[in-house]
Amino acid sequence: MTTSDRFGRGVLRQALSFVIVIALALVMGLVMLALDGFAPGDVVRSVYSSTFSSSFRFANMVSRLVVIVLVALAAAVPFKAGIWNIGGDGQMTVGGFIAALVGFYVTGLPPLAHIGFAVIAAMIGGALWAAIPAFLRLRYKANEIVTTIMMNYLAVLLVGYLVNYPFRAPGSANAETSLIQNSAVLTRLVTLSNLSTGIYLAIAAFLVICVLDWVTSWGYEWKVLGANDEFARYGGVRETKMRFLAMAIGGGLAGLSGAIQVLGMFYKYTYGMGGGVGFTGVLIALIAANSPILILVVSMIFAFLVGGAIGLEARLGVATEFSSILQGVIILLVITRSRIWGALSALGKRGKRYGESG
Amino acid sequence: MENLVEFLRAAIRLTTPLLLAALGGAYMQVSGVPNVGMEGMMLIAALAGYIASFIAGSWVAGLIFGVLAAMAVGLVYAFFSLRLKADIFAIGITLNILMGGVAAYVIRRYYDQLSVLRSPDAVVLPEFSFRALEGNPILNSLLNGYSLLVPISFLLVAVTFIIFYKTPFGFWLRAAGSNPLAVSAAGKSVTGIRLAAFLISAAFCGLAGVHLSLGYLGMFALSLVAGRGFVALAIVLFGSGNPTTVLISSLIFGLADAASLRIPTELIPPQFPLMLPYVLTILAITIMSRFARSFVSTEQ
Repeated sequence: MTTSDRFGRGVLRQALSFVIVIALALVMGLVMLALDGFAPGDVVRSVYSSTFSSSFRFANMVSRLVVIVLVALAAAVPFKAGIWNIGGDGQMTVGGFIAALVGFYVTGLPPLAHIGFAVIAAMIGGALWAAIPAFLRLRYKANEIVTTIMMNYLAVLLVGYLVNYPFRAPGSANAETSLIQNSAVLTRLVTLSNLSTGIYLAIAAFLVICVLDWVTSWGYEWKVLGANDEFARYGGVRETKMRFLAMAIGGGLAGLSGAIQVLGMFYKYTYGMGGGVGFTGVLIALIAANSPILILVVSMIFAFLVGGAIGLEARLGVATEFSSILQGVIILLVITRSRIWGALSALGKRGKRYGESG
Repeated sequence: MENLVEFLRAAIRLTTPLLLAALGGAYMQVSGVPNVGMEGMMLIAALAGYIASFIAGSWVAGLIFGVLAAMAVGLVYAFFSLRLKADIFAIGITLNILMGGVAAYVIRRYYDQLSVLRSPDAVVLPEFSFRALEGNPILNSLLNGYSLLVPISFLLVAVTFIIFYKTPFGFWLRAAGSNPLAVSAAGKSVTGIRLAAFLISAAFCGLAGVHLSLGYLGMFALSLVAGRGFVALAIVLFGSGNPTTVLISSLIFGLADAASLRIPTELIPPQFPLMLPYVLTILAITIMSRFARSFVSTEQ
């Protein structure tokens, strides 16, 4: 891929075809719901009510985008380097929990230092949680799809134990930690919404990944590794080291997303926080791993889907998981879009030929 | 003694879903394609089977519709990965998430439930006993009175073994995995053979799912598969699809599963025993992967 391609037409054309596919998927979603008895007008109004209807709703959607972009990068960076990370959920859980501990137990620090401490600890926690399956894969060839998923269940159980017993907030009816100190709180940007200054951390992380991807040799080595191991080894790419790094960075980003949720939205770790969003990240990585810009674009669309589903739930009683159906449909369409269009155009040509002869 | 028998019975009941899914996974594995969509296939079969059972008032309907639902997912999976040649891991993972969404949507939309579906009209799978064992108290208490799919799952190990190693279909199935070019050269369609493997694999996952809802739990829950599709994938991977290895590994995991549920919580918080199957999966796949090269058929 040439540089102009990376920044210019290639990504643009890809983004355009994504938009077409996604528009198609949204229409399919409307049709599915219509067939199931929901008037399209009601559906559109409900989706609008929880997404663009007020600055509060919009801010909440953006706060979801922050989490989604980070878990998408958490899956995408390893994916680009040819190693799967389905463990974003677990890494996020561990990171969020650690942020809550640092936020509560550490006292007497100025806000910036306290936040920095909590965030870095969370990122290290996430990275270490990802390092286990990475090590097992790179050292022993243990299938990382299986192990990262197992690590998700282990994270939920381990943190579940910790918030139920040793670190449970005194007197709390729920499995959750104590509220963090004021010095660790990420300030809200829009009143009452979940959107906090954590978005700046996410933007910084996103830019770092862009730089890694476009400017440094790491991005190149990952790409070569993801495309072809044999060639990469022949070309002197440090396979083990680069893949391990990719996985650790992925885990760190997932940990960061956990920290932003704890420090900027809930102010404590609650059992089951953010469950399942890691899989949304994996889906995004499946179709957009080759470009951070695409990841951002697809994350925006998915944040809209998730945000819209909340309105559907509140107003029409549609399960919020409807958004995962649409996400899945979008992925299937995008992965196979060139094939589908090829098949369609072949059909079209055949039709034309018959038309001409007849 | 009674405790031991109870424990072993729980282990056998919990072996069955893993065994069924992993045996099914073996059909695809030996034909050269891993089944990454088992989680979703099991979930949708568990739901479809349970709903069919209480609508029709018949476990036979549950069994049939559960298996058909899983096979429909298998067909979609095959279409995308064989016909459209999309990445098999990507499609499998996507289908799992998609099926999670479908299941949640269905129970919310039609039954107004958030995570669990339970109906008094559901007819669970019947229990099955071997007449010949009823005279022997030990064997009777250990081996009789299981839900129907439990004995069937063990029977299917033998059936699968015979199909793999004693039938022409099994020969071509294994050949499609180990040497697809030769299969093509012999005038057989690798895609056709693999399509059959997808459908058989999905049908097995369907049985596993139906066992979970209509045999083991007697209800449906969104969390009822709980990673078993991936534990089963691990079992398939480190047995490289050999039915005997699949049986032994499934039994070990069934034991771990049963142990994780039966360790008294006064001794240790419940989260730790529940980790057992997952830790075991990671350990097992790590240890077995070291030796994998010697017996795993070549990829693709």
